[in-house]
Amino acid sequence: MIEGGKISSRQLLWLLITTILSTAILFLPSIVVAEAKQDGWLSAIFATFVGLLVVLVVSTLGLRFPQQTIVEYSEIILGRFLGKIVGLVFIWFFLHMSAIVVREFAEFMVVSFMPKTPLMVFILTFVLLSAFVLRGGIEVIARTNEVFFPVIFFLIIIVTILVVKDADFTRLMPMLERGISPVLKGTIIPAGWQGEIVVLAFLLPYLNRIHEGRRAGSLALLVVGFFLFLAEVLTVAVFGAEVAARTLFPTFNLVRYISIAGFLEHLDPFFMIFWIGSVFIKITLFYYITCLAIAQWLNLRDYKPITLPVATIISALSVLLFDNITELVNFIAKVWGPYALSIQLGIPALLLVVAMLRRQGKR
Amino acid sequence: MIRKVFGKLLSRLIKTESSKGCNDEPCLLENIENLDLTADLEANLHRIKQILGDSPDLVIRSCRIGLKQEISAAIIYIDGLVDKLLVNDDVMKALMLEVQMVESKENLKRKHILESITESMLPASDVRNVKSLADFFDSVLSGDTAILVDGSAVGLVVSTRGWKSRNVEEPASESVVRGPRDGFTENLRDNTALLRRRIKTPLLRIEAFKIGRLSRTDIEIAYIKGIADEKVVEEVRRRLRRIDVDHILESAYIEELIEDAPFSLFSTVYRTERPDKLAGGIFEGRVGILIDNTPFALLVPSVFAEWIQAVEDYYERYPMGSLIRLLRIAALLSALLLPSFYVAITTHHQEMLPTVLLLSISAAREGVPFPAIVEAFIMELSFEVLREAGIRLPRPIGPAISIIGGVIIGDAAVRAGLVGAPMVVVVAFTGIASYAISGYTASITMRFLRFGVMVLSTVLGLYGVMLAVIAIIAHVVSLRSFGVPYLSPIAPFNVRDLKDVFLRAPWWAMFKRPRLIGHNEPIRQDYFLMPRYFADEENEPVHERRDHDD
Repeated sequence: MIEGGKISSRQLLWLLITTILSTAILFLPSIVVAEAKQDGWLSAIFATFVGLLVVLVVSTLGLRFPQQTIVEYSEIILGRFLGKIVGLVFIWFFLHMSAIVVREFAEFMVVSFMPKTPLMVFILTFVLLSAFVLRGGIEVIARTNEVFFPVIFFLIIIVTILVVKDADFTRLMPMLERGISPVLKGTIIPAGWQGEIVVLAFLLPYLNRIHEGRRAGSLALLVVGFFLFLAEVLTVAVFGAEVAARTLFPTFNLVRYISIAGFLEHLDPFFMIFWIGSVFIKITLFYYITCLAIAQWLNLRDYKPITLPVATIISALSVLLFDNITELVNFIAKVWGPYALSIQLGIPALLLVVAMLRRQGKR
Repeated sequence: MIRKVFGKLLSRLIKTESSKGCNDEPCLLENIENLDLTADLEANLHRIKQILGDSPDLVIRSCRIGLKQEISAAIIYIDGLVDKLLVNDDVMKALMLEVQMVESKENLKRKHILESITESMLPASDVRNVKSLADFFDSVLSGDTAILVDGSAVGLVVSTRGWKSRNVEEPASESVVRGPRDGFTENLRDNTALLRRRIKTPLLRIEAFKIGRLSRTDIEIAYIKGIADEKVVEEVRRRLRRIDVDHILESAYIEELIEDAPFSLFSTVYRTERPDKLAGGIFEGRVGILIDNTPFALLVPSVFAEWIQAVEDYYERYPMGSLIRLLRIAALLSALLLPSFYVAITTHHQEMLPTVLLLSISAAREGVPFPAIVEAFIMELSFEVLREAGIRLPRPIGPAISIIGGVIIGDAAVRAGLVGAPMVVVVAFTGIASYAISGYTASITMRFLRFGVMVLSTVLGLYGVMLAVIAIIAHVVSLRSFGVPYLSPIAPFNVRDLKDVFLRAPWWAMFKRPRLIGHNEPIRQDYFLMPRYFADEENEPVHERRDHDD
C-alpha cells in the first residue's frame, strides 16, 4: 500500500470534524441565511441527514472492499475503463476542492486581516507548508490535528458562551414564514459541506479498526451539524437574518463582537490563528487525498514525488478559478451544492448499486 | 567487530614499533587480534611492555611463589587506577606469604598453582581468568590487577579498581528545593549503585557494553525486566552495538549516535544527572543508559512531555505540582512565542491592543530608530551572548559581567534610545522563561526556534507566527523516540496519560503506567489508594481499618 500509516477512530473523528467545520462555520451561515432567512438552522439539520446518507453509502462500500480506496475499487466494480474515469472524476474533485479551500482561506485572510498583502503570498506559503506536512503521511496529519482540535473545540464553546448574552432569540421567529421550500433550497449548500465526509472513501483503509469508521463518520457529522446549527442560530439571533445575510463572515463578526471586561477586545486575530490551524488541516487532508488518488490512479508506488507538482496545480488553480471573492461566494452559493453532491453522493451510490448487483466484495 | 578493529589497530601500532627494530619476534605481531597469553611469562611480559610502550604508569612486579620459590609470577597493574592498599594486602601478600603458609605441597606445583590461587589463596571477591591479550588489556587498563604465572597461558584478573573520583554531590544542572540531593558522578559503578539503591527489585537488569575503539568506554543499560518493552530494550542494544566510533567522552556522543531524528532540533533522548529521575523513568518502563566518565545518564524512549515535567512536581503535593506545571507550560510558550507576538502585534495588529496600552507602548518606542524586529534581535542576541559568556567566564568575573550586562541591556540601551523599554521587558521575561523549562537542551531548542518565528512574525504578522507554529507542531508529531510518538499522549491523544502532562495527578491516582511506554505491565499500583480514614470508633489503629472495598 502507498500509505503505510494507520489512524485510530478517534483521530479519524477529530480529523473529519476539523475538516468539515473549519470552512463551513465561516462561509456557510451567511449563504444559508440568504436562502433560508431565519430558518437557516433547519437547513443545517437537514444537511446533516444528507451527510449521514453519504456516510452510509461510502462506509458500506468501504467495508465491501476493506483494503482499498474508492479509486481502486471503482475499477473492480465498473471495470478498468469506466473505473479509471470515476477515479479521474474524484481526482479532479479533490483537486478542485483543495483549490477552492485554499482560495477561500486566502480571500478571508486578505479581506479580514491583511488587505494589502497579495493573495498569492497566502496561497503559496500555505500550500508549501502543506506539502511539507503531508510528506509525513496520514499519521502526521491526524496527529497535527490532535494538537489543534481540542483548542479549537474549546474556543468555539467559549465564543458561544460569550456571545449568548447578545443574542435575541425572538429574531428566529416566525418559523417557516415562507414555507419549507426556501429551507430545502438552503439545505443543498451545507449538504455539499457535510458531503465532504466522502473523504472516508479514501481514509477507511487506513483506519486501524475499519468497522468503527461508520460510527466515527456519523458522529463527526452530528457534531458538525450541531455546531452549524449553533452558528446559524447565533448569527441570526445576534445580527438578525437581514444583516447576517449581507455580511460576508457573520461568525467572524460574532467574535469581533466579544468584549471582556472592556479590556479584552478585538480578539479576532487570536481566533483567526486557531482557525488557520484548522483550515490548514483541511487543505492538507484534501491535498493529501489528491496526491494519494493520483498515485493510486497511476499505479505509483509512492505519492511523495507528485506532491510538489500537485502543489503547483492547486496554487495556480486557486488563483485562476475566480476573479474575486464575490465570484467565489456566488459559486459556493449557486453551483457548489449540486455539483459536489452529485460526486459525493451520486457516484458512490452508483458504485454501491452496481457492486450489489454484481455481488462484488465482502458482505 | 570492535575487538577486530581494536586488534588491527594494535597490530598496526606494534608494526611501526617493530620497524624501528625493537622487536625480535615479528611473526607474532601479524595477527594480534587472535593473540593469546602464552605459557612463557617472560614472553608475555615482553609483549605487554612492547604494546604499552614502557609507559611510566605501568607497574610490573615480578615475584617468585611456591614452596621453594621456584615459580616466577608477575603482578601487573596501572598505577593510579588501582587501590594500592588492596593490591598490597590482598594480592601481593596472598601470593608471596600466605601461599607457603597455607597450601599443601601438591597444590604448589606448577600444574595446580593457578587453580589453587583462585580457589583458596586470593582473598579478593572478584577474580576472573583471561586468555586473550585483548581481554587482558581491557581489564588492566580499566584498573584491574593481573597475575601472570609462569607456565600458565591463563592469567588471573583481580578487581582492584580504585581511582580518585568526585564524591556524590548535588547535581549542578537540576537542583531541587524538596527532594533527594544526590547526583550521578563520573564513576559508572557509583552511578549504578545510586540506581540500585532506588530500585531494589531483583528484576532490575544492568547490561554492559564497551564502546569506542580507542576509548573502550564502559556503557551500561538499565531496565526492569517485564516492565520495559523487550522490543525497545532490544532496539537500544542494537543501536548501541552498531556504534563504531573511536571515542566516547560524554553521553552526548551516544545520544547523537542512537537518536531517531538526527536532523531535528528536538532531542528524542532525555538526559539527566539525577538518579531519582532516571529511576522514575525506569519504573515507568523506560531504559536508562549510563556512560562511564560522565554524570549524565540517558533515558529512552523520551517524549516531549518531559520538557514540562520537573522532578519536583512529583515531590511537592499534587495541587502545587500541577500549578507549577501549568506555569511551566506558559513559560515554554512564552519562551517560544512572546517576542514574536510582540513584534507581530506592534507591527501588524495594533488594533488588538487596548488603546491605553497601545499609547504607552508607542510612547516608549518614540525615538527608537529601528523597527521592532531589529530591536528584538539586538536584545535577544545580547541576552544570548550574556548567557553564554556567563557560562564560559572564569567564576570570579561572573558577577561583574552580569552587572555590566544587566545595566547595559536594561537601562543604558533604553536611555540611549536604541530600544524601547517594552522590548526590554519582553526579552527579559522570555529569557527567564526559557529557563523555567525542565532540561537545558529543551531551552536551547526553544531559544533557537524563537529567532525563526520572530522573522516570520515580522513578515507576515500573526499569520507568520501561526505558520511557524504549524510547522513546528507538524514536525514534532512526526518524531518518534524508539517507536513512541514524541508528542504522545497529546498526539496520539490518550486521556488516561494526560494525568501526567498538563497536570500532575496525585500519586494515589497514578494507577497505570504510560500506555505507549509501560504497556508490558500497565498496572502500576493498586486502585483505591486514596487516603480515606474513618473516625476512631473502636480504638483500632487507623491504618488497619482502611476500607479497600468501598
